[in-house]
Amino acid sequence: MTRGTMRLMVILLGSYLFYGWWDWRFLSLIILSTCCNFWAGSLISATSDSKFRKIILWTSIVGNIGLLGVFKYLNFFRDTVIKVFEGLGFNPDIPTLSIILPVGISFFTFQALSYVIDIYRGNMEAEPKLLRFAVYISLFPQLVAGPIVRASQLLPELRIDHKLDMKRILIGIEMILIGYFLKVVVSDSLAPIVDLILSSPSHETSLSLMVAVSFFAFQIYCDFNGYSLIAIGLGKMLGFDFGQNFNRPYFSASFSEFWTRWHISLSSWLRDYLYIPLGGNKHGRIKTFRNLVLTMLLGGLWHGASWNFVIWGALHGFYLVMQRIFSSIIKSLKEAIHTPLLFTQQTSLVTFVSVTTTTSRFLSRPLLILLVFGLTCFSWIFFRAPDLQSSLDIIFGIYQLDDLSPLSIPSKFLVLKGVLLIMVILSCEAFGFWLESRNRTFESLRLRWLRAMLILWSIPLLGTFKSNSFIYFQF
Amino acid sequence: MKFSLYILVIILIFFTGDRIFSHFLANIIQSSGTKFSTVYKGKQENNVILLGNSRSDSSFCPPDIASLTSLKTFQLGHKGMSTNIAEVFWRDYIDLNKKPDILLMDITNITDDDKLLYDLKAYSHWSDRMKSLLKKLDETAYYTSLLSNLYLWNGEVLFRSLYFKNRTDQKKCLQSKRVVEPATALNMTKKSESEFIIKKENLNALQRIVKDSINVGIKVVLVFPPLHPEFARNKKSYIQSLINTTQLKIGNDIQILDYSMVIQDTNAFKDIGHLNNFGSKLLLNKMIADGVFETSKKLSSLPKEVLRLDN
Repeated sequence: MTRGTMRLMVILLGSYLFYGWWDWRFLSLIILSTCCNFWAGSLISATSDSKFRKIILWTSIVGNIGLLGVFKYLNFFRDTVIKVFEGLGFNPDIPTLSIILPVGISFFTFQALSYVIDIYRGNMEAEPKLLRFAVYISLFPQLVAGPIVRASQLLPELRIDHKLDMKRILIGIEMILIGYFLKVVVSDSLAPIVDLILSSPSHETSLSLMVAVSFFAFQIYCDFNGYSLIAIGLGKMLGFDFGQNFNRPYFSASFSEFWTRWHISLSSWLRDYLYIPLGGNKHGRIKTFRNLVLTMLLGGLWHGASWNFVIWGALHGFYLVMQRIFSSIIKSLKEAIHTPLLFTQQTSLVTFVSVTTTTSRFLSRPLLILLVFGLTCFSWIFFRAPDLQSSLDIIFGIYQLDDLSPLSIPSKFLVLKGVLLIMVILSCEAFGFWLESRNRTFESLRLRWLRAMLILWSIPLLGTFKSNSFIYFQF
Repeated sequence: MKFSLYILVIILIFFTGDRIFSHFLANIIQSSGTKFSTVYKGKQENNVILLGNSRSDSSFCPPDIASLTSLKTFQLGHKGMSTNIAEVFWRDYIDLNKKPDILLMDITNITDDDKLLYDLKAYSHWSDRMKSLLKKLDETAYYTSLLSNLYLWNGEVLFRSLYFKNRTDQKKCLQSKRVVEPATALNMTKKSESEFIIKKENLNALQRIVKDSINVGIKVVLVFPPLHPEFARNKKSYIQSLINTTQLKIGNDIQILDYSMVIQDTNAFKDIGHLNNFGSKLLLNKMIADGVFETSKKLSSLPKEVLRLDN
């Protein structure tokens, strides 16, 4: 047995122990998924009969989606069917199944699907070793909440016998530290305010609700980004590169840009395995809109078995469609007017999007960032609220604009802490954005050490240590 | 070897910085105008001490009491503070400051749990009693704060202290103008699951406070503060049960004043459980009429809203 094989076995055992610690019964599920997808990939790779390859591919897709459907969506479909029948005047008696949602099923199922589909497309060869494939599916840092790593990226890394690399370990530790800071200091500090205000939205003032929704935008961002960084850092220490999962999403000036910066592993997965196979933007405007909306609807549904998540996805689909419509209108206007001058004397819409002078380019991006952030916050209402009624209570409460006095906000000092933490995050990200725009990176070793020490001091001082699990564990 | 050296240096820098920053933050907190920092500055001379939870904070307004009675009044009540924790501050106050004449206490904090200890652990820096309570109720927090002194300042206390750096928190009751909407009050009453469950350790703490205060010549006044009329009617049996249980525990030397339904004017409430400043003035009027305080001012010279008497 080679050193590399032993290393993989240790990682696999550790990953199964990690997964089985939550519920040992679901180990059989992940092992079954591993074996079936490995076998499907091998069969597809071994044959040149296109019909047979297609059958295996679709069997694998149906099997994986079916698995997800049973564990995640069965009761949701049951409830929806009952509501439809009740609306038609019937009372069907469909029993509820007591099904536990296996941790990480949404993530490892998508990883398995990407493997089989990439083999079918000829983008990669099937992995000959079951051990290596099993490690790919169950690798513990990203097993329960991503990032969703492509087989074509990770499998080649699993073939390398990495030696202990102190530089990688230190970088990994640095990422884990930043991730832990985002989770324990920022996200968990914002959570109590969000929970307090949104637990009874009809009793809260407009300003309190606005604060809660904005705080939630940063709570979920820091929670998920924090987890991703911890997973990526752990992977780094083990010698693997998972790729970035978030890239300053609240600095996006459009929704297409937002989806290249938010949950990058999922959005790129949806693009490559759903949007593009549906036709992408290659078959005319109407089909492009259809494909965008369908992709985002299914993306919303992936997050959870609830109509609220579907609405959240639909909103983002709508935003993407409207963005395209506005972009094409502006483009047509510019072509029609055919002048490079600033259109301040003409419509405010044209002024807003004109980019021919440095001044207007400087102004329009911040405004667009605010617009995208505002609309994203609106969609987060549906993501956060437990049901549609609560979502409507929050929206109605905000738009009443009944009390905008800061005195109406509960737990003012905790809110103040939250505001300060958000300002720290935004300042750091703005600095990172500025570096990125000048093709520079944060390389100064002294500054990185200082950052690490500041984080270490801030964790006991500002961290919240009540046991709040990661939000994306529920998906 | 090099890696181990790195780790050692990081640990050393961490602990050095932890102690330096902690010392700096302790100075900020001690110099602030918050009620607890004022206690530990010492040498306060107050005639009346107000003690309890948020109901004490909203029902009894020190500037109003002082202006009507000429008695220097100090609010030691704090939102969510259980009697167990209140006892610590009360005893520390007596040790470090001049003994007051009157202790006016809201008894509803016998139903509060000790979760505020997490925030108030900061004061274990100055109080051995708080340190013992922390060790008894939350060993993890106690030992973590020994390891990292910065952890001691983890909580709302730091931000409160920064806000009240150059001002006192004794006057904030004067800014409480909010009035609860009738529909909201009704809704909140219907949804309220509050059952006023008494915590045994709180009852024991109350008994000790009352007994030891009387022994050193302090007049003790125990009050069940006003609740919104809808809420008070809804919880009448719980209120009576709480008062009876408390009375039984402390004996008959002191009669608990049941003011739960004494204010019927719904404009006096900022929510179903708390008075606003207007309400606290009405309550003060009632307490003067009941002889809790003697006023040095003639009735005709009292502000209009204080003259109104509810049943």
